[in-house]
Amino acid sequence: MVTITVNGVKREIQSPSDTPLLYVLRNDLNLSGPQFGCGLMQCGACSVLLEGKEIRSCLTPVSAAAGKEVTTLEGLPARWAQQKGLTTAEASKTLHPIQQAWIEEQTPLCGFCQNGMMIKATELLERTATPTLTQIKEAFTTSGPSPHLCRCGSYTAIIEAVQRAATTMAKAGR
Amino acid sequence: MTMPNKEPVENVRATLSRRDFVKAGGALVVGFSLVGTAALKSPVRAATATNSLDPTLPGSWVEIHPDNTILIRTGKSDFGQSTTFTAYRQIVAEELNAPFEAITTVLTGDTDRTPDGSGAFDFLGRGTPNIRKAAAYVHQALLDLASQRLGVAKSALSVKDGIVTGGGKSISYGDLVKGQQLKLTIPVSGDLTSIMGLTVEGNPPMKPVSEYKVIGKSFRNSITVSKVSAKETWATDVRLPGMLHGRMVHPKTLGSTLVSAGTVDKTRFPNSRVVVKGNLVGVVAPTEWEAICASQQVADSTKWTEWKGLPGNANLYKYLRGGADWEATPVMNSDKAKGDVPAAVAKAPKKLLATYEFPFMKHAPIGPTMAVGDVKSDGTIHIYTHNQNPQALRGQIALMLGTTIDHVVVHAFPGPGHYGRSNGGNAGAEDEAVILSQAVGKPVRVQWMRAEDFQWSTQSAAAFSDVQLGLDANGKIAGYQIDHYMPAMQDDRPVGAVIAGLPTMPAPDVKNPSNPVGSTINGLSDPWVYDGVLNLAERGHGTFQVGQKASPLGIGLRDHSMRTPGQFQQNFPREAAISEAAALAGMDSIEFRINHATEDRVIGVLKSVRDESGWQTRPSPHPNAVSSGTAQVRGQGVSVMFRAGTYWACACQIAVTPSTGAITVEKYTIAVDPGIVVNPMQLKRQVEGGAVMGISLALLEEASFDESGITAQDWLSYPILKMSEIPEIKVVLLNRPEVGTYGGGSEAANALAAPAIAAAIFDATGKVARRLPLKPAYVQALLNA
Repeated sequence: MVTITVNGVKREIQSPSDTPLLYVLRNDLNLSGPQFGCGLMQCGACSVLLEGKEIRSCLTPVSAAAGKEVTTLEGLPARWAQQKGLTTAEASKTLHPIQQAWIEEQTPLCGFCQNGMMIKATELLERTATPTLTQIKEAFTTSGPSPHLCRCGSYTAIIEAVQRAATTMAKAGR
Repeated sequence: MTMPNKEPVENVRATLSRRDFVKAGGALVVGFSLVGTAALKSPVRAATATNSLDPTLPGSWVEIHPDNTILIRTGKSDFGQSTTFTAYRQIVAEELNAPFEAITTVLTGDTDRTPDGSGAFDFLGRGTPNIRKAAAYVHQALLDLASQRLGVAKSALSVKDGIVTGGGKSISYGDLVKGQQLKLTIPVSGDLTSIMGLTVEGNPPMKPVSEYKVIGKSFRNSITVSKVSAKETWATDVRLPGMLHGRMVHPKTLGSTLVSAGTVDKTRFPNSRVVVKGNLVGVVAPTEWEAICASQQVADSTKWTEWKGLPGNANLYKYLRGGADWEATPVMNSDKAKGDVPAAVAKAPKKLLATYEFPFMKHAPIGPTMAVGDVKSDGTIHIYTHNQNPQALRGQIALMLGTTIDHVVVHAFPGPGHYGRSNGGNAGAEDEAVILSQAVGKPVRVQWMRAEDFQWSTQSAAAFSDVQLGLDANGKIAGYQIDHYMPAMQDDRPVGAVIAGLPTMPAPDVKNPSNPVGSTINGLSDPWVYDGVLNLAERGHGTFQVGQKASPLGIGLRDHSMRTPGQFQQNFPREAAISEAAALAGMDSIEFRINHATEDRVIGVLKSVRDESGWQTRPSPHPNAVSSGTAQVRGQGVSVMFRAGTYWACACQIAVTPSTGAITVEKYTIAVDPGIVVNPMQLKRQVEGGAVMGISLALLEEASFDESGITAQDWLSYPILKMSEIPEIKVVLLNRPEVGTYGGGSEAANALAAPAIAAAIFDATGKVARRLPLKPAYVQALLNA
């Protein structure tokens, strides 16, 4: 049996240890943020953070996450709250600034890929507080196992949302 | 298995909660407020014998509650357009004179809870979508009721923010409808389960555009919050008690029949089971990972016949021109045809004869098709999926199983964009989930894998067009003739039903008259915008789908409408040819277009992109154009289109590296005149997205295939545009209230890029590109020729 920490909670996983993390998250833990897009690490719809690094859950066996910290889209508000030292009450009312920026900029079209886009943005902005346009494009295109793909063509809106999130996060002192 | 913590029927859409509707008695009478608060909150649905709403009842469209909140229902499903959650609320609020925020619930798609069907396209209905007329009827009925209640003549009443005032008295809509019934019948026509669904008829008085207060503002899409905060219930999240996971083992080729189905290795997959129906093979298992692994093992031991009945994409255009049957299908003629083109071209001092080629393209949703099918012991069939036309799917499933539509309910959920692929009722997995569920007596969730979604789905039809035009001594087009050739573009047969040998609608044929659905007729779908041309002929030639009749499965290369369907195939050759004609005339290609246009709005979008894009007014090619070397050369191109009430133009600036053929689109300016802009922010996002998809289609996209089937199988073999490849995009919205209607704002944006980029290649290099996609290898060969 594999034990992983998901969004701050330890979970004992009954599924076989070769099961891709995506199916464990979606089917065993009822998390709906990460989506099945290709099952080939080619699109990024399934992205989660593993120890703060963006990975593709569709081909990562759950055993690779044993004893490690997984953050999904569901866990972004709590991750931000913890980083900012917010109280539980405050945290329950807040979204991560990245999620908020995605709303302000009306970024999603169909929205199916946006889980991976917000996860990638979180990794980027935790490492590079004020990325340049080139750095943003590089993060979403060449930094991972594959480019993060959006079929609806929302890339412009993603860039604007990352820039907005960077500004609000900087104002919040990070 | 683990029981889910989500109950799909309680799906909450953003701030808009879904509520159940209880129909009032009496066919022509509805009480707007007969639904108690408790009933509204109940997740249990009101059972009706028909599993349908009565579309003649106003309450099936618009429900006004005692607390002044309003619920609206539409058969249209959102696939990222945002219209149902933004523009529809704005339109209803406007017609009712109610606040936008009063519309707290939008019910979409579900076949038992929405009235009108139709596909997820043409949302704005060229200015009068069903929901607008329905709201206008309701508004009149509310005024009648208020007139009675207040004892004031209807003409003396006014409404503001949902409060009716007249004769010194006032009453809110909520108080007005409390305990009251309205006598009102909404006239409708059409076929609920057809691609177009039902249409609201008649001409109810509608609010004058000059009084609009809500339309024109940038309201946010209410579903965005739940999507970005992981609180949305997507179709992919639906889990039913006892549900099994299914994976398909599709035939080896698009014409292979089953020799023998493999068996499950029970030592490895003790809980898996093979289902066979005709040539359809599937595997079900209690867990998704077991279903995936077991289906791969079964696939390895399943035997199929061989089939090689396709031309292969290297021979596509040769086959289309020389091998396809263009005789059986009647030729369509433009209703704008005039004059004598051959005579005009014959005496023209300058001529252009050219052929343009357009490949098969994939809709390529970012998530493969999936559905949960549940064939219950009581004979009802429930399907949980993301589908652009749930009512059409309902009809197809009823046909497949030999039952009536009252036995079928399609539950609609958000999912990845389909761009037209399911607007006729299916994307691929829906019927297969039902077939597997019926076989095992349990709900089954079928999820296609990435390769299946490329290889077993429909595609956007390939096409070619022959152009002949002549220029007179003044550089004006003396005659223009275009012949468009395209196989049938819309095959709505559910593929699993076809493979299984179950009943479906017929394959596209000459005899099926309902163009475009099921017909081989190639209608003219790119409205002519150059009315200054005196001699004009446009013809559409249709044929059967490639390989479909030869396939023992009856499948071959199935086509389906894709964003700007048919018109994209016809606009690319036209606009590319017009740019070439401008060069032949030695004129700037925007000026040349303006010289041939007579409509203000065509000229308006052209002037807009000229002024907003940094356009250099001069003939093509650029004085410094070169077709060799390793240094980038730059060029500009333009295109124009009229679609669904909206005028569009784009101008692009590109860089070409002749030695490699690589193209970078550096700047992309797009002007949109829809008449009234309903929601500027949402329209801007739609246009940006369409522009990016269009650049992707133009530069990269072609569904490769060999003699047996589609060979594209993933995002490496079917690449789409990446973030690093997008240009600077500038969207210019031209709001023209005087037009009086609002046109569509999503389709067309994707089709403008291809002819503009092709023209820019000529501008940069002096070499003409007449085939899509504009991949480096093609462009490099073109420049070396």
